[in-house]
Amino acid sequence: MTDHDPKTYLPLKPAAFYILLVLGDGALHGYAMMQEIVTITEDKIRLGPGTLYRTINQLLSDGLIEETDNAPSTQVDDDERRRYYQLTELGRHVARAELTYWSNLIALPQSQQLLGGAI
Amino acid sequence: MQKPRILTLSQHVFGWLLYTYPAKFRHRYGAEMGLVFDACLSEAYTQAGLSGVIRLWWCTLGDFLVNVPAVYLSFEQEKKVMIRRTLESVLAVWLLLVCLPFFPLIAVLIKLDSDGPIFFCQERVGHRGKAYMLYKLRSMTVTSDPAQRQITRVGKILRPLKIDELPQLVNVLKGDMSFFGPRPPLPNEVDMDNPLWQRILANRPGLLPTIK
Repeated sequence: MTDHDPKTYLPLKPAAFYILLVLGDGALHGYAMMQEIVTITEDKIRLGPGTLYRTINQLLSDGLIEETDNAPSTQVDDDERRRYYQLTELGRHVARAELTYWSNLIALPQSQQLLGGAI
Repeated sequence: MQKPRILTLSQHVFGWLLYTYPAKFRHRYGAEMGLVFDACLSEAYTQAGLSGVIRLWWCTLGDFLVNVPAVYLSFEQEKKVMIRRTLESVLAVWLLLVCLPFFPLIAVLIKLDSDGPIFFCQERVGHRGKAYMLYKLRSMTVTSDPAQRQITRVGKILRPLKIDELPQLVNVLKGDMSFFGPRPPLPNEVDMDNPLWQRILANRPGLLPTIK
């Protein structure tokens, strides 16, 4: 798996990118991913259950995420039907590559012009 | 506290909707998707009551009805495609239901008028060059030589009224076609290496062809 070039997975679909992003902190279950995405995007992006699990399915079969039993113990209302997902090594590389791509865009002189030196 | 009926009902409907997914996908993720939906449902209900539930359903239905090929779409575009596909599917189902009582009669007429099947299926090229089967009611005779084909008597009535095009509503439901879009081309007409064709077939072909 790891011999895949992360760049071949780019650009990621928005839904896939956000899921990889929120998993950067550790394993989450579906609903937690959804809520985390709502938080980081200031309620602009809400994935429906269909989109969420279609994307999870795709990411699993691409080997970017995997199921895990090491659920964070902080969850009180844990339901045994809940599955937790975490990044694989490859997923981590792909997420990093996508972020690097965006940060390179932000570093462009044009972007800096648009941002007006705000950053 | 007793659960409001709208919540239990919503959960049931969501359970049925899960059957629109392939069995493998449903077995793998169905239970989890149910959990996610339940959580969204109670959140929406506590925050905005009935209108929250309605809004959640609006998003959820869009999510279900569309199998968005979202690779190149931004979220904004994705949302537009979703809304469009939702409306089109609803309209297609409605029109199919309205026409359904007349289908047996038309089918019998086609059968009696000339030998051959009721439906005419032909491969056409659709969205992003993907081939699909286009369905029509047969309005021409079946011969081995295409040049010898003639419009049947029933066809003479069906064609001007565009009734022979009605089975294409199924194509709309399947997501092969839209109501409005370019005329669905035959495979030998299309060259997907040609940027013009790429631009034309960036849209789904339409039931009511628009001018290129």
